Amino acid sequence: MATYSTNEFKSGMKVLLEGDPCSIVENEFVKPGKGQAFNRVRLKNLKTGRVWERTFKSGESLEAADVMEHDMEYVYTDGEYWHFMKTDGSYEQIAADKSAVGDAMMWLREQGECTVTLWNEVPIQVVAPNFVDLEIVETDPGVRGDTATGGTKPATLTTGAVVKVPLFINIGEIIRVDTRTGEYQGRSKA
Amino acid sequence: MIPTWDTLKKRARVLSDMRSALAFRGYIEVQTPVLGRYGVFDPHLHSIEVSTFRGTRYLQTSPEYALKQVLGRAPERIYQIGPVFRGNDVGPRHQPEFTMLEWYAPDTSLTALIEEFIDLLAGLTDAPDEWREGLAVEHHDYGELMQSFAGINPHQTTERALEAHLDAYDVEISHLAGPRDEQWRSDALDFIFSTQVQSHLEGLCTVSGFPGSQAALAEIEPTTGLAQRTELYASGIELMNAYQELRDPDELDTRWKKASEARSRRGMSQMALDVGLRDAMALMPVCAGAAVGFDRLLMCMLGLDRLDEVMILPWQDG
Repeated sequence: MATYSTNEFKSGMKVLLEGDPCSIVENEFVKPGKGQAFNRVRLKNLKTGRVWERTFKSGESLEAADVMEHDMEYVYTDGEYWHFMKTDGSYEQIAADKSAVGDAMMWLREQGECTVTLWNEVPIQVVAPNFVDLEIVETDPGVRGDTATGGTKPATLTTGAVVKVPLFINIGEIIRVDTRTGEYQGRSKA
Repeated sequence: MIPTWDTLKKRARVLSDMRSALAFRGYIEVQTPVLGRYGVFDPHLHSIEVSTFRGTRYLQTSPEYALKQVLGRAPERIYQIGPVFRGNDVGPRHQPEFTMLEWYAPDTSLTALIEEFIDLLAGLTDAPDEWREGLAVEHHDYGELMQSFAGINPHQTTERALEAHLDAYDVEISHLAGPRDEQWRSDALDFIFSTQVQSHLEGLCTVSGFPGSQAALAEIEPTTGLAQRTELYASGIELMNAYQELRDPDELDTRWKKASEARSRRGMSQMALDVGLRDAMALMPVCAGAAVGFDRLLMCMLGLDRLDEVMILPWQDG
């Protein structure tokens, strides 16, 4: 596999660090007046999600990690694996385990698009799109005409996720949610 | 990338003012080659190699070796303004090619040389108000700064204490791995200085009292073991290095040997000692000398943040 020297480091680059695939988030070259030049790098471990900062000796090399992100459609789950299909026309399917799916599990919708990160062809992370439209399966009935109180109530979605919604929203309605914050955005435009 | 025309005009004016000011103080401009037979032996300065019809040559990291050979022949006040090259990487304050202003003053003490330069800066048309006459420049002691801001006595601290200190950083420090020699100690101290002390240096100020291990080609004061080296900072940015220049060829040999061993331990190539420099050292007058990153100086004078704002077609950051 290719190697990258510190002076080639770029944000978004995928490297192998102590056996784990990591993404370079930020990189800065620093040369103290008399001492060893170094690169101050912020990294994200793509397996564990951990973000941390570390210095590297200027000129040091890291192995590139075979990490690719693919747009995929969620197909189904058998309880043990979650199956996704590539949307590039190949119809290739991959199976992601629970730890790879992680928080995205709350926002999966049949045929919904996700970004799946593959490391050596194995899924290690699934990221839901920023906004999803999901149906409410459980919530207290809304009071008719109650559009102005600004109060909220919890609503359970098909995925099991619970989101705070305005009081006038009812079961069966499809709402848009910001998956990054878990916040109700409005009724689905679809 | 091209700086604004206003910046380019100011750059030209500062250069012109600088030359007038140096001439007024009796300095004669000389020009030495950028391609030399020898690279620099400092383990942390990277001399870029060039392949020529006569074999490998090195782009000079500073005109020091050549200017000292001039001094060996003519003990006069000389200066040079020209391009220097340091391989490595690009950053907001670092460019592989930059402009160095370097000068030597025989029979002038280090203190007098620095006062003279601060006085020179105050007289430049484009000098910021804070640098003008009447403003006191603070003179700091390295040991005291390290004690105040890092809680370390750099002259007495142990390797273990330094390691513990580095462990306490938020950032995981892995660039200081390697053999625990005198070079390592100097590198660790320098890292701590640059990360914990430097940002606290306000306005125009000097720092002296560096350990002998950081003397480079400066004399080492025999009773204290400290380097006769002074640095000038502007708002925490290192602008100038000034030395009471070393004149002992045997001591040069010793330092070259230590540096070569440090290079070897780190898997770095060996750099032969410049024989011309060695011969000249025995003939050099007692003198103080200094070097300033001209682009950085200009950057600070104009209140800008990055070197590429004052340089034409600089190397791009990452």
